[in-house]
Amino acid sequence: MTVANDTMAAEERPSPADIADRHRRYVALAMLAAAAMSLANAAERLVQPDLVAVTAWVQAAMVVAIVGALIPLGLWKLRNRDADLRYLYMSEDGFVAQSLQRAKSISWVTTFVFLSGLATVAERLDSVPSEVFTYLTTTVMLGVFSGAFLFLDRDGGEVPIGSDA
Amino acid sequence: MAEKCRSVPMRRVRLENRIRVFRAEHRLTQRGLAQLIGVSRKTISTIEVGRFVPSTTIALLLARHFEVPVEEIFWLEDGGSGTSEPPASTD
Repeated sequence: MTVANDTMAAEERPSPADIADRHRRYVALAMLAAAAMSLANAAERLVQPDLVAVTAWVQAAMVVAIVGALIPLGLWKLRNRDADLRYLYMSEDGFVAQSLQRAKSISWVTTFVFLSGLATVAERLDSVPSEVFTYLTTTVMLGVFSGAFLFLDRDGGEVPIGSDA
Repeated sequence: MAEKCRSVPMRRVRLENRIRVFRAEHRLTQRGLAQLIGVSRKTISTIEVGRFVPSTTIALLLARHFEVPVEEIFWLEDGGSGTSEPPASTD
């Protein structure tokens, strides 16, 4: 009975671990927005001048998305200065934290392969401004990172009490 | 004692668990259990289905919460030969 009461009380509010997971997802989404922004930057240097205004709007929207995704993280840290809560928040033991680490590894390897490929073809692309390569590399790095994380973090669904075999 | 030990390649063993059974016995949801031991709901759900191998800390926290040895919650299953190490009784 005590256990049941403890559980009901505990379930009323999100735990620091759940909040940390949510913030990690926000960071991954912010990275996706940053990748889109970088892609827009690259496109801006390749497309017609009349399309530059469109890419500027895309970039502005992405900046808003990035800032909007990171604000909750900063607010939570400001509100919760308790050492125990911070320890739970910063713990790297959970599934989502591990997924984030794996996504970083996948992103690092992919970026390395992309740069190796780019090094072989760059000499044939003299007409392309050099900063385009920088933006494309950033796009690959951040896009693969966020994409890999969102794939690894796909939901397995909650299994409630009573559904056990 | 030493002759009873058998070598099983790492790639063949799978970590099985009884968290769902213990949850049902204690009438806990995944979220409730997660809150009680200080991890996220997603961590519990992915451990249950075998998608995530928990750290030693999480395994020990689960064992401490259910007041059983960690071997009663987690055990290794030999996927290669089809045999498994029987988990300890929860009685």
